Amino acid sequence: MPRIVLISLAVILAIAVIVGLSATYTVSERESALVLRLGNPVAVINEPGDEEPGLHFKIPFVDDVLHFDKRNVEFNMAPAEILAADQERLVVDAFLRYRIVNPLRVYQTVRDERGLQQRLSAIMDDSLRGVIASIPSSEVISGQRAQVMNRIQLAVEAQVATQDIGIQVIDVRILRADLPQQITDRVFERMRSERQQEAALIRAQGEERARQIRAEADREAVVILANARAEAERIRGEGDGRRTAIFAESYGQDPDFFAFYRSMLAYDLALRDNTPIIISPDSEFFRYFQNQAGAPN
Amino acid sequence: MPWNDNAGGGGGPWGSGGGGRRGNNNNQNPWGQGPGGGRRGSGNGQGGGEPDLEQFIAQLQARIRRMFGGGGGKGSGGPGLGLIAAGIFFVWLAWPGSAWYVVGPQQAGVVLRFGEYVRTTGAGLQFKLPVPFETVLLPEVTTTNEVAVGATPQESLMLTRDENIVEIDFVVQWRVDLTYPEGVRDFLFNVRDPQGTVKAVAESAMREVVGTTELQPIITAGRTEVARRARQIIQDTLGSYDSGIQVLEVQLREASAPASVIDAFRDVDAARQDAERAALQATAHANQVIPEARGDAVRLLEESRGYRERVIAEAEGQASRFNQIYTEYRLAPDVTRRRIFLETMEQVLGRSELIILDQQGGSGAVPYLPLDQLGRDRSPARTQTGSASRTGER
Repeated sequence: MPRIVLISLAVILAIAVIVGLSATYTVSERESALVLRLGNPVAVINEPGDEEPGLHFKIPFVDDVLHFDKRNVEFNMAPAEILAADQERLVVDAFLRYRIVNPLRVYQTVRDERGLQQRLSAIMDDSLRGVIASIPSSEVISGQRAQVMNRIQLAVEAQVATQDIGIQVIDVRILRADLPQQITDRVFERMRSERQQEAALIRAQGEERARQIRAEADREAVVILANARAEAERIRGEGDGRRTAIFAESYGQDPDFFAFYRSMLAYDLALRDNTPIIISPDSEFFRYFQNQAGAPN
Repeated sequence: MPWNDNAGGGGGPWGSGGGGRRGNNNNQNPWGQGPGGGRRGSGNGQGGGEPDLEQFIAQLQARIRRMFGGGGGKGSGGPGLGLIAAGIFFVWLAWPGSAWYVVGPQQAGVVLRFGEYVRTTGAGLQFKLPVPFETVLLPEVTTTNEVAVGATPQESLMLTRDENIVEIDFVVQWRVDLTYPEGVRDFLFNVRDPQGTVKAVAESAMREVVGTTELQPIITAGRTEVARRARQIIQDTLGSYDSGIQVLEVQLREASAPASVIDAFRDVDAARQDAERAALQATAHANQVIPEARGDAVRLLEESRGYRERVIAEAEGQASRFNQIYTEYRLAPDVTRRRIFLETMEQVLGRSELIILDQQGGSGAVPYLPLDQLGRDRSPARTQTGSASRTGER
């Protein structure tokens, strides 16, 4: 009898614990929960704006609780080749950040996160193509990237709003907007030839400068020498002039004697050894040569 | 919770912390293994929990059966059951992470009550309600995390504004933002995969900055500016996510021309060196030529001065000589004149080869003189033909 009582007591206790546990559930700060009563949604717990994380109660075995991440989540689209307004092909890799704000709508429209991401993929692809097709590639690549991202975000937001899939778009960013590989190669080719041109120009300019420096130096050297020669001639002239003055003063005393004296000097200096000289016996030198008497004539 | 399991990155409802120690994962806490350890337990219906649980229940049942079977009398089973319950209670309280936890100096202790944030505690030994009621997250908040971007060509090659391609390799350092009180909460609860978020945002921001800058500044003087602007955009974007992430620094490790064109860029540098060298060589030439010319100029001038002095001195000497002779000559002009003449003739004719030719002698015939022979052999041949006779030298 007491044994039966104890057993049933234990069983009741166990059942109570099981029921108690299945009547409670917890909701973390980073998630919200959707309560389904036999498949029928009855409550959303801890959705944005209605923060109530913590311990909650439900009807055991009847209510089912689905948890949805409510954090900021990245959805990264696979890189897509997109035609820009100027018919240039761009490889665009973009990502979207979103947050589930209405778990019920998410559950109703796409059921779960996988479905949500498939839907987002379609929306992103559509929005990207739509926006980029209206913009020249250079703007996407460089110029107005921030504005382009903004426009894409607006397009995505519009589609999310019309489809009402229960998420908030936080940010859309273009990760990469590149030219396809063969165009990349062309860019490399162009960069290379630009550098080659630059290098050639720099070398030519260096050569130009070098020649200029050389030419200036050579000219300066020539000028220096020419000036020096001119000065040297002047100095020589000075000497010659002074010499002439000295001679004129000295020899001017008796030009006749000078002529004689100088001639004598010149003969002495001008005629070398063994110079053949034909001379007549009648010359002044031989005046006494055949004049035995030595008489003056 | 069909999808939350794959979404939460593993674990229970409070899935992955930022690298922090899990509050109650794999905890095997005794309470959860009690007789009623059913569906929810402490949220970890994974791992080897089920067999252990069944085993435990089986053992418990066996023990109860034994107790009742052996005891028989009313109240005799009470103390045994109570003892077990007390033991379980004690173990539960003493279990690390259940009622107490230790926060490291680099960590923050974030306490959740049934998943709801209640408080953040600092370093040291801390107490909380035991496990099913309160759990704790221990994120590393002072650690500096690093995200590197640019390891692959796909990541590192970026288009510049002038449609060149630059190779960028950079590192973003970040940590949990402690500059505002909710930083740690935001970090834990607002963004999934903080590291991946930082990386994606950083790459996007860097491409945005590079796309609005020209190639030359990026690879030369503008590097710090590029890093600064990228940091600003990354911080602003992460701020708009309420991510609780503080960007400390963006370091450009590499910002250069891509590998396949780097040779051309190096050649430009080489060209600059070449140009510099050509100019230097030309300057060296100038430095040689001009001083040489100056030296030559000085030599020319000195030569000419020497010439001047020499010529004047010679003139003065000759004039002086003449003056002195002339002074004496005036005293006896005829004698001196004759003397000078004769002395000179003596000198001149004395060393000459003299041919005395009498013009009256050979009245009709012109004497034959072999001029070429005269020139050729002077001293050895001393014989002359014809009426020419010669005088020997003194």
